[in-house]
Amino acid sequence: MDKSSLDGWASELRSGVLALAVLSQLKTPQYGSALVKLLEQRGLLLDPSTLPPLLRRLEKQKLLTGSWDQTGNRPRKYYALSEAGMEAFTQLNDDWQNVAQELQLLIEGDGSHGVN
Amino acid sequence: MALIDRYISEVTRRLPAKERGDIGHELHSTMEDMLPAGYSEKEERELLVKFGDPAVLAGKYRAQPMYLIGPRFFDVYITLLKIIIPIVVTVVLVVLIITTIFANAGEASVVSVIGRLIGDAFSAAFDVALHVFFWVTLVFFIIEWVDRSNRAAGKPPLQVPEKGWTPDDLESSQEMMPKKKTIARSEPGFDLIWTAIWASIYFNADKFVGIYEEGSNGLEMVTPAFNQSVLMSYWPLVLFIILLQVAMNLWKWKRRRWDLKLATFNLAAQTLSVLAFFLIFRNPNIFAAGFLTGLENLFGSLDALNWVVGGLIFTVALFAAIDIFQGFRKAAIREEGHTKDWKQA
Repeated sequence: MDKSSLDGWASELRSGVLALAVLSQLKTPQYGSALVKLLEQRGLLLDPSTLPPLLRRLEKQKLLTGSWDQTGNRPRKYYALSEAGMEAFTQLNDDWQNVAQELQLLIEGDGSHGVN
Repeated sequence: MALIDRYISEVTRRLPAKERGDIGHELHSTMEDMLPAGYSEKEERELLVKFGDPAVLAGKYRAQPMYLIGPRFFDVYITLLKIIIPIVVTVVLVVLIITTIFANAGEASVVSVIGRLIGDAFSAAFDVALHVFFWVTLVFFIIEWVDRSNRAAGKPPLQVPEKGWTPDDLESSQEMMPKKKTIARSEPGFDLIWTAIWASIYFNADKFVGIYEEGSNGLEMVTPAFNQSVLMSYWPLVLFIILLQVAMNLWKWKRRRWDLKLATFNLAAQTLSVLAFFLIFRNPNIFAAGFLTGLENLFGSLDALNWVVGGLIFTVALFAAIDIFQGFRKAAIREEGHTKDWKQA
């Protein structure tokens, strides 16, 4: 199989669930680079440059609240779920559970091929 | 330090001014945080490579897509260009041919007129195609832009066609036609240009067709071949045939396939054209007296002329017969034949 064509699908697969992954980690406030590090370690983020624009979009949609912490020698912006974000996370999570479950059944094959 | 700052300014300069400050701060914080304390330039470079082209990153921040005409209108745009450009180019060429031949009749030699006509035709076709392309693109850019702002304001999007796509749109699909039955759009176009050429020459025959000899300004006409006033006595008939051919070609352009009605019309138009051609050339008076004596001096007798006229009439009749036959043959091809082919395959 062509390596580069596989790469495209791999990152496309992740880009769909990235927002869910981010929302899941923000029940407690977290800053950008820590999220990058975490998601990269889990293999969920292939391109770190996608995260800052995503955080900004979520904040614009009022799903996240952002606040600057100026105490250290490096200022950091902490992001946390807003109330709307909490709701969005619950809903997206339900969707995801459904998709994951059905996909798993399809991949393993549960004997329901060719519904009669 | 300096590299990251330069990278971030490359990103933010591509973004709306009011967002530059915020995005710059956020990016700077995240990126610097990913580097160890007291990092080297090498580590900085590696980080920038990971983040990639600043233009691409800026694109991820931008909600506005970066294209003139979006996927919603692109297909209509291309279809329209494909229809409009050939029409406009054909019309311009027809007008150009007619005006050039009429304007230059009797003033310049045939060779120079033809040379100029070919040059003018190419530049006019190119010019007008470029103009149409530009204006159609501009109009579609405005449509796209209006639609984009409408949707941003929460209004319903523009629909092309008006009510959106429905299965009814399939009925007239040209692609389902058997290839042999269809008429290419270019065919009536070329036919119209040909009609413009012969009609213009007919009305100016005494100034173009004749015996040429090498003169002081290149080739010069010594004797016109035709007696223009006799030739012109047939003008109502010729005009009728011109109109018939124009109507025929417009119909062909619109219909895009052969059917029985079109083939019958073609039969009538072609037969009439051949009859008119025959009628005009059977009249010995259409040839100018000077031309006939000139030929007699050259070849000794007028036998050659008789052969040429006879051959010409025969050729015209033959081509007309082939065209009529092809029309009926193509009309007889069944429309659903093609569909069956790929159903079986």
